[in-house]
Amino acid sequence: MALNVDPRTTLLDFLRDHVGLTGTKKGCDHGQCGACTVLVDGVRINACLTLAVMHAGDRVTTIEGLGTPASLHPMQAAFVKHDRFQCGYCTPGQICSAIGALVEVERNVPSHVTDDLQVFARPMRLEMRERMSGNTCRCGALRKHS
Amino acid sequence: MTRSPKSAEYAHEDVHLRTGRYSRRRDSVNGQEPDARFIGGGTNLLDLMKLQIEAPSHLIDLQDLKLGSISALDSGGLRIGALVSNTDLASHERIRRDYSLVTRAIVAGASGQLRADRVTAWRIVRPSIALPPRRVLWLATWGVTLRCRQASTKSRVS
Repeated sequence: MALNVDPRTTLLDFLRDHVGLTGTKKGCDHGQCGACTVLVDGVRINACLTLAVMHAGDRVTTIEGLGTPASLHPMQAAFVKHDRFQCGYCTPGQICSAIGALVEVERNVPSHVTDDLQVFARPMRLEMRERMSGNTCRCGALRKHS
Repeated sequence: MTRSPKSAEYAHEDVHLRTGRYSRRRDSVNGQEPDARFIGGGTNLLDLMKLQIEAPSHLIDLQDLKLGSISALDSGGLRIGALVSNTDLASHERIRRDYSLVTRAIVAGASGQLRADRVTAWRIVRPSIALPPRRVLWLATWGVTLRCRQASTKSRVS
């Protein structure tokens, strides 16, 4: 896809306003809430704190690209099964972030609660709670996110 | 700051970004532009731009510079490229084993999303440090060198 946009357009605004992919949400617009989390070449980032023009040629995956109602991504299915959302506003960012977090675990990326840095961290509850701390939820569904 | 038609305010809701030019560098940067800013990941600079604390007339993207690797020095230390992400730095095998304090410090801050997009040199190129752009680029080019001397470790920015 080739579009000409103002270089000041964030990746988040580009996705929502120029491409029409409104699944990714704008919460704080300052990299604190994680609602804008997308996957860029498989890596989770906040779309609000990067410019669209900086990602020319990159592969960006939004919540729309993960699955469809008829064919849910396993992470989407897990969120449904375990009742992990209420209003759903933070949910696209939570799902993209969770997928990115598991990729980081596979890549042996440590977290603040990783005890032994020389050992691969397992996606235990404590590790996932820490790794998902960049995604906030106002509805109180947060306790089930881990 | 000189304003051209292209650098007029761009308003979207309550966000104002006053910058008109964006360019990506693949080699050295010559000359000085007082109102220019280098951008690595953007997690700090864009945050400040949205609050109009920073209002560059020109954004110079450094991501194409070949500064994204960590290499061993003959002296036993490491040279860390300025564009290595915080996540990559924290998870590097040598860093985890020999400079674990660096790993611990990195993962104690921000979030997974921010660490993945933030570059090592953000603490050097971030606008809150008043440095002339040429010196900033010199520092960013050299990145960080960690030297290891047998039982003790010493770190400095070179």
